[in-house]
Amino acid sequence: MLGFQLKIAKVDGHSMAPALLDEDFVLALRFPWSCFCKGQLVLVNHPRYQLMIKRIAEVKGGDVLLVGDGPCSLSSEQMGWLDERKIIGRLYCRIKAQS
Amino acid sequence: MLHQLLERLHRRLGFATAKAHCDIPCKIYDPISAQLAALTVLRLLDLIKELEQKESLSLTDQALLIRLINDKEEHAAKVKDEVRIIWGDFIKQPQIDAQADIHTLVHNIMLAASACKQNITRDKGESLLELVNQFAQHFWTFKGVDTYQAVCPYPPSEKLVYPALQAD
Repeated sequence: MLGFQLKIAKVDGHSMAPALLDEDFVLALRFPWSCFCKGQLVLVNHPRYQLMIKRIAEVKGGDVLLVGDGPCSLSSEQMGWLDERKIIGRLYCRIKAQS
Repeated sequence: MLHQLLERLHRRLGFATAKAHCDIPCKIYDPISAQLAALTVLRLLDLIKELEQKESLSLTDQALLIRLINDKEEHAAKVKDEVRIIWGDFIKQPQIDAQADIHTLVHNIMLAASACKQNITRDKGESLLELVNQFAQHFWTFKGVDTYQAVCPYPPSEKLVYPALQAD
């Protein structure tokens, strides 16, 4: 309707530390003209793992490969290539739980 | 401050929660987090009781009361979260076989934590701590670690179940 998606989500866990910590809030935005690049943090609706925050490791055509920052994150292989349309938005703002 | 505002909105509106937890089981479990949260609930109940004994509450007292109640809510919920994680991720059939009452105990903890959210009487907090200590006792038994009970060296000075770990 407005042409863009905006979602506020609360972070659950530490696997994206230090970029994001448990209980931080994040603001994800996606515009019709959004394009995604390697290294960006994105909020995605993964068909198997549901709503999660990961970093883009690679972009190929209309698909992205995701990676977690932490060593205990699911591997890129486990998450597989994901259709870019599953990305809810790129993280533009982080509201820290602890200042 | 902005985070507090969002936290309040989150409680009312329920923003989505995005998983960023360790997706691979890290096998790091310890009931001490639940025990400390239960102790905190009890301490907050004591502090609320102190306010109750005043004849009238100043604006500062009222602000403190709101903080105490918010923290009580938060820590009662934390007890539930911490116990639920150990119950859901660590406890498997062998532990259930060893302690058949574990499900009942966990359910009772959920009820006791909710009672602490709904009430401000100390006995609710004492019941919660007692149940969480029982849970800790079971947990360390599952791990094959002896335990002992000691009074925590800080308010509310209540007994906790500690693992009797030995130095190498």
